[in-house]
Amino acid sequence: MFERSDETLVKQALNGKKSAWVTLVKRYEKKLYNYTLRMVSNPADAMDLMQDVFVAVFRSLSTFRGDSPFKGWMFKIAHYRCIEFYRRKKPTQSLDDVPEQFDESNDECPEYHAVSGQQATALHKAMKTLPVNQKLVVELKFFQHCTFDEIAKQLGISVNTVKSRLYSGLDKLKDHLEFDYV
Amino acid sequence: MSEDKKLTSEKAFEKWLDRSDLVEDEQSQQVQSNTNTNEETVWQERLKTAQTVEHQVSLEAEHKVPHWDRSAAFESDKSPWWQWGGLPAMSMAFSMFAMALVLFKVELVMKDDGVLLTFAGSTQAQINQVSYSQEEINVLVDAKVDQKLQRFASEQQVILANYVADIKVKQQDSNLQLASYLIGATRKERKEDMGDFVQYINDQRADDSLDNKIKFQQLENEINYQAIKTQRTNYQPKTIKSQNSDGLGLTTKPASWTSEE
Repeated sequence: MFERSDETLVKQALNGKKSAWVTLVKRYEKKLYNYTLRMVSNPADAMDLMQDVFVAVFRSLSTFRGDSPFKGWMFKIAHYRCIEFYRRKKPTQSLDDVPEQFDESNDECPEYHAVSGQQATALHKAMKTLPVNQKLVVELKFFQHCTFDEIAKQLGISVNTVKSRLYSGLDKLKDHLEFDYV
Repeated sequence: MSEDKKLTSEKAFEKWLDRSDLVEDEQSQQVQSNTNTNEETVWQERLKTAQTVEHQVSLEAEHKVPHWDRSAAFESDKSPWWQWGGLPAMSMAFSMFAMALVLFKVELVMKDDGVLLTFAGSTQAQINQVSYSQEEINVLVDAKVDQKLQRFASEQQVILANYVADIKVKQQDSNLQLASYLIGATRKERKEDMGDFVQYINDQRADDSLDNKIKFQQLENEINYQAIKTQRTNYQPKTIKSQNSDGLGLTTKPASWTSEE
């Protein structure tokens, strides 16, 4: 009825109130899970990554000062954990390279196809062809509707780099998407 | 000129991407209108791609989160008391203390005049030392017995004094109750005696009055009898009529005599 603010829940969680933390998790777990699912294209990995993000968020909870919204702060951590996830999977591969082997293995995952909608499948397939850095910018731009400045702040890069990555990503997506509806 | 057009298209595309909603259509049209050069074609394709991506994003449904332990990440700093960090150190310290007590043969002896803490069996040595002099033991025992007896005597005196005081108080109470009872009983008896005496007097008076009545009745009868007898013997009707019935001028009945009496 009276929804507590994120800041209140954070304070209560820091004071040791488990129910406040669970409420906070329930509030954002869906968005975070869908984000991780889009980023890693595998439900099991997405689940692991989401839990990893929540663990990192809880451990850094005391550093949250409330200057920026909790959601943005949490997703910033999520981006870093996502990049770490890719680095851990393929330590030798650059984040600007297409994670070919990784994506190929996920194409065969029936569970992912079961949870994916028909309309979104084409987009997901197309996004798999993008390098992690470009995929991250496309995610922030089109799924989370961030401006260039916000993306640059969240990823800690310049606006020009964001634009460059986005345009490169769009150029790659163009080859894998159909433009029938346009 | 071409460079200017490129810049304009790029800026318009950027603005469109950044969701300047009020001028979105206008900018989109602007991007679409610049279709002359190859550069513009590139921007056109990017715009189409962006629109397609947006369209597909709008069609995508959010996936449900599988069940998982949401409180797993919650690690409270407040650990239970049995997980307190200082507990092993404190346990170690107590163990060392216990070992020291055992090694130094520490003894704690409770005495009448206090507590004695001894080390390395010095109490036993003292006891052994005392056991050597039997006379001193006897003297100490005598002194102790005397002390105990004196204390017992003084306690008994106090108890007796208290007992006597209690007895006195009880005796006084009993005397008071007895005196009250006696006074009350005497009063009651006197009252009853007086009542009996008055009753006796009344009864006596009643008997006297009855006796008198009988006597008067007899006397009256006698007088009547004497009068009748006299009349019979000395019958003189004319002379007698003028005199009283007894011939002496006396009436046989008192003035206040009634027929009922």
